[in-house]
Amino acid sequence: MSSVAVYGTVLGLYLAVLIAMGLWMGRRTRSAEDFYIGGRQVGPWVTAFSFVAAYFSSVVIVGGGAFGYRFGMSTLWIAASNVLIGCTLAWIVLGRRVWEFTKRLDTMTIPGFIGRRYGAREAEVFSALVVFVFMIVYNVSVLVGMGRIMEGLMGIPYVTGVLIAGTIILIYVSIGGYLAVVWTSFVQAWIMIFGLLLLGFAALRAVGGISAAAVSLAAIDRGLVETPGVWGWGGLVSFALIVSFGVWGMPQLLVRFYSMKSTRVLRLGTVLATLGGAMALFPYLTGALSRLLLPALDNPDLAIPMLTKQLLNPWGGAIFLAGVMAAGMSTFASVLIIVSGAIVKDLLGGRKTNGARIARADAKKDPDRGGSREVRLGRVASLGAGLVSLLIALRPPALVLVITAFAWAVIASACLWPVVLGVYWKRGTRAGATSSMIVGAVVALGWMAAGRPLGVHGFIPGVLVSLLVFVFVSLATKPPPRELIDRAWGKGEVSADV
Amino acid sequence: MAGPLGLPWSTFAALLVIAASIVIAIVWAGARGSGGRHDDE
Repeated sequence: MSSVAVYGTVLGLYLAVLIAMGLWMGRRTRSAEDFYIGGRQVGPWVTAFSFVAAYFSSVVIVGGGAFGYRFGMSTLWIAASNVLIGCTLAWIVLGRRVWEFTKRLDTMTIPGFIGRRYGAREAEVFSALVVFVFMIVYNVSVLVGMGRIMEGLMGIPYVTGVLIAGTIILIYVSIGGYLAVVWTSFVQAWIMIFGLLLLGFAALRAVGGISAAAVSLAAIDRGLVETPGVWGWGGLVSFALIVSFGVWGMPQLLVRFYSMKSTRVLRLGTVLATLGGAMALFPYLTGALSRLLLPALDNPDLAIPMLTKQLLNPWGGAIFLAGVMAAGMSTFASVLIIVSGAIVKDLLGGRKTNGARIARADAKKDPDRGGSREVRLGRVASLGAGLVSLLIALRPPALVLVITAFAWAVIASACLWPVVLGVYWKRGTRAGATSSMIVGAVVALGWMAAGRPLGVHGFIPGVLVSLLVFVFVSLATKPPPRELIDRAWGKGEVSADV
Repeated sequence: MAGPLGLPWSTFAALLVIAASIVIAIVWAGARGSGGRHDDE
């Protein structure tokens, strides 16, 4: 069997399974709550592994390998921060509270949570706009990554690769909604883990083990094994924080917390998400090892694809490619459902529809009408948002590719504190939340546009300034109304938590 | 100075942080399961 036939068989099978899952989940999607958060009925295994799959995109796998190639073993600290801050602590600190607050406030989206927690429609609209613009751009980068790796490994023309991946995601997300996203992500997480382990261990074997690799890398440059090594503290720490602490403000990951069927899910889910998150080690480690196996690469982004070709047979290569595709598709799909929610629930819905409550009232009058109308809207919105990303990705303008580097920083800088302090600090006010979001997004964007002064990622100044603005403006303005706090914290629990 | 696996301690510590995260998650889950805070159904 030729290698193209092997790749075609594995990928064809994999993509057919995804479509079948989308169609199956579509039959279980009846209400808006089903479409956006799986009816809050998702268990620990699916929640945890779909979290991990959405967290690590194909950009992380290919880009992580490139970072490992350029900066060496110090990039293992990025993986460590991914696991500790992005998985374990995120689940422990935010999981329970985000679940409880979104349930009490009856909301299915992060912009909706921000709007209701602070009684601030303007904050809801602003965060929905940030999500809409920057998540679409983020998805462009994910598609571009998938198209390039399909081109590199299979020789499929870039445009064809983007069209295949994008179309299949659009089909299963628009039909199956959130349930399709989390169940396909659950399967995709295992394919990613298997693919990364396969390549990682093949690379370790080829270099004679990690100790031998450390000696050889140190012989090239001691900075390739030391921390911070050739990268320096500014670049390493700020990048590690954006891809770990930034998670705390990313809607496509926070949604996993409020789609759980109960907070009991958190116990096993936290352990599973931590174990699954540990796969982040492999792109960086493999990238560092590839410096020894492919010493003269002009473009470090090619480290992982080239290594796959060099070390794995066609079946192994096809499984690894499926893993990279899985990483990209799960992230793209997770983001798509969030953008759809931002459009339908937050930008178009607003006060008039008052989200789920009205849908439920509609459904009471006519059990099919209220739910299915919102589901139809959600499907159209996810299809539309996905098509926009797809069309841009076919021939991405240089400006869009530049903005993709800003997407995480801007979304996290805008949403992180209104979410984190929204569930921990009762004194946070409408003015504090709104001003912190605007200032955080502008500072992150401005810092990146200025060319990352001091080598620091825009997320760091963005998130620091937005924290200061949130606290000072909140303390300088009138405390939020009692009924708003009672509703968010639940009556009776208020005094215990003040 | 070389630490375990031939890596400097400053880099090897990253692997320890990953192991510690797994321990933290297990201990936290265990504490919640053994009559800690009430879980919502």
